[in-house]
Amino acid sequence: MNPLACHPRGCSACGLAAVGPVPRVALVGNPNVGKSSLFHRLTGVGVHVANYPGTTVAIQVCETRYKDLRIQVWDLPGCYSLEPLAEDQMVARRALLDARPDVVVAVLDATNLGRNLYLVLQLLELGLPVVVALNFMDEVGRRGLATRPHELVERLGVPVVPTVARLGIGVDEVMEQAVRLHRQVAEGGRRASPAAYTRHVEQAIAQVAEALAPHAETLPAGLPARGGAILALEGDAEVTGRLRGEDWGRRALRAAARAGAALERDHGVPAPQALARERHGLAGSLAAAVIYRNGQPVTRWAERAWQFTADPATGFPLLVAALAAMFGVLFFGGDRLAALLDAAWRAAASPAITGLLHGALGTGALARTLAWGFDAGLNAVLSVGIPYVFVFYLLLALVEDSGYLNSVAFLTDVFMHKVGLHGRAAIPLVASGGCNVPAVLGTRALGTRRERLIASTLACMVPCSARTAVIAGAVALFVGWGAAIGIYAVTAVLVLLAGWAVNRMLPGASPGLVMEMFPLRWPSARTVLQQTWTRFREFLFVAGPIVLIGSLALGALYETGAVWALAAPLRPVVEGWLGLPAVAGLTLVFAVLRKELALQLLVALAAMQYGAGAASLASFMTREQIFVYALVNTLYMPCVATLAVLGRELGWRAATAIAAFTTLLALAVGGAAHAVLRLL
Amino acid sequence: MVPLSHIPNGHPVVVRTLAIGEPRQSRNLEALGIYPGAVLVVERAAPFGGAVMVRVGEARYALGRQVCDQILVEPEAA
Repeated sequence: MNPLACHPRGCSACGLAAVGPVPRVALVGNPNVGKSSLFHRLTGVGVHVANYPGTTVAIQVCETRYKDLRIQVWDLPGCYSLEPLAEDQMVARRALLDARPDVVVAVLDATNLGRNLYLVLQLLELGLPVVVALNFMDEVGRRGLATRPHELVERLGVPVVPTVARLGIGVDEVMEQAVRLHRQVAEGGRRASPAAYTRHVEQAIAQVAEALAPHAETLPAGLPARGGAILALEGDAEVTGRLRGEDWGRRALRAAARAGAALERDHGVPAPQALARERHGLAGSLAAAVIYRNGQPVTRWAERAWQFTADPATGFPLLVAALAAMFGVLFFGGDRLAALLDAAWRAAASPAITGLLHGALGTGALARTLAWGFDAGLNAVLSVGIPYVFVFYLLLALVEDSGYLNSVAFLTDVFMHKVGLHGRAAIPLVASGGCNVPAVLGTRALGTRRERLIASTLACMVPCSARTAVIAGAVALFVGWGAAIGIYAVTAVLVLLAGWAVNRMLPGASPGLVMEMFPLRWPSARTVLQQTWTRFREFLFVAGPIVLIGSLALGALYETGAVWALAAPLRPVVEGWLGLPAVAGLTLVFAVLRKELALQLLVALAAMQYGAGAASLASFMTREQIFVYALVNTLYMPCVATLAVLGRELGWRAATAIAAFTTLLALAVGGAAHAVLRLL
Repeated sequence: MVPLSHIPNGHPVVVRTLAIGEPRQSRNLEALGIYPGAVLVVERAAPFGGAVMVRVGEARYALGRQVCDQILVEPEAA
């Protein structure tokens, strides 16, 4: 869950090396300020030593070279402050305080300098060596603004480098400054001078720092006395917890309580708020000294387009149109592509593979079993993976990179509230249409465990691309479009009902939406393709072997005749309750490995019993049976990969509960659908 | 003092009190620059009691309606 929790000083297994000869440089900054662009520019030619899934919710580590030096670069999740407000921000804080990088590069959005400097002030308070990268300098010019970076250098005592990370401008200079700062710090030289607050606040800090100073060496996370004092005044849970364990620490906490009370008397707000206000005030005055207007702003298409997506009058129709377009491309385009690939496989690869198998092993049960895996199985990976999964990932990456989901979150907040979530949860829920695994990881950005539980439960019920493949490939093809849309409609209603019910059942309430809105940007081809490929590669290398092994196993069971004996115990539920053939139930059991496996195995079974050809599934099961089958497959227990990530992220109790709940729901709804369809 | 949710679009207001029970939410807003004394402008509100979009300096935030109920503001003195 947290790469640093188990070994606070770093560990080679995590890729976060302990203090050593390789300087470790962490990129920190608010969300969406170009950290990842800078990371890719810095490490473009480097070797990946670790890559945690979900770039925005975990740490990416990469080793690179600058001149003759090896340098390790960390890309941390975006955060507005160093308080652990959500899990992704906790990850950033852990990396900075526990693994303590040698140099921190604070990446700032120069067009919104005041808010961005808030984080820099915090970093300096905590005694971290900081290089400032003043990013988006091109955008500064477009807004009719200009900067005086030297003001920042003089007032904070930190190196400042203007950059346009997206275009690689200033990137080498950032590295140069980071290396120089690392050397200066190692030689015990340079220390930044944390800016001073107003008198009352400085007095309060000094009172606590005095109590901490004699023990500064033993403060947690190498904090300086002043930094420890500020965290104690802010009531930081981690620092106060550690101080409570020592006699001198308890004295310091008493000093903090007294100083905090005095501060509250003087400022009329609690001490943490007084400090936040001071820090914003200081950041604001620094920003005012650095940024000035020297021209007229240019209104860009992105701003106009953004207004269009966020304005409810145009935004809601656009949302419906965007969803319809996505499914249209997926269903119509996907089907064409699937047919093409399938035909190509049958024409070229299939004869070669079966020829090879028959040549080597004859036409016995072993050769036929291997053909299940290496012919039918691999074909399934190809003709389901590329048309539905790849195309979906491509569409998702386009939508994500454009920033459109931000507007979706704003518009849908009110509906998400009905199910105990807020608008930000719309982002992982949309992502779960591609795959539930990154969606569950993506819920880390939600503030509370309660929200994560609800969002993860619902994400597991959203048909992922594999289940969509079954719906498109079986229901849409053999039953009709209306029935396929019907499965989505039933699922959508169930997701809403489940959200409503879980929200009622779980104690507490979910906090409201607080989310920054960003302008749209033109998706970058490079980022979109990179993101699509990263996800699709996961699919190929994780799903590929599972489908292969699953097909081989079912093939062996089928060829030996064991399949009928195994299917027998399922008969009461599958035949009696759902009205499906018992062996179809067996394919549903296998589909826990991969959801699209259900259809692949079913088609293979049908082909074995009734001969090849597209019509075989229709002769194997009735239209009603295909509908019930796809409905149950869509709803019941998430696949093993999702279960594993649920267990890791939320604990095994939650994972088991979600699996049990969805399985029971699938059986109930499937049985009801069977009963209703029989009456019609 | 009135809740931010009662403020019509386009009016600058000064935050007076964050009447938020959940301390993490309050700290979150403070880090974003929504703290007593900060100036906000409501830009638009989603229908059906949906989220409210506010501008704070150069940044824009979407705030859920019940978050806005807990942010008490006063019109900015001209």
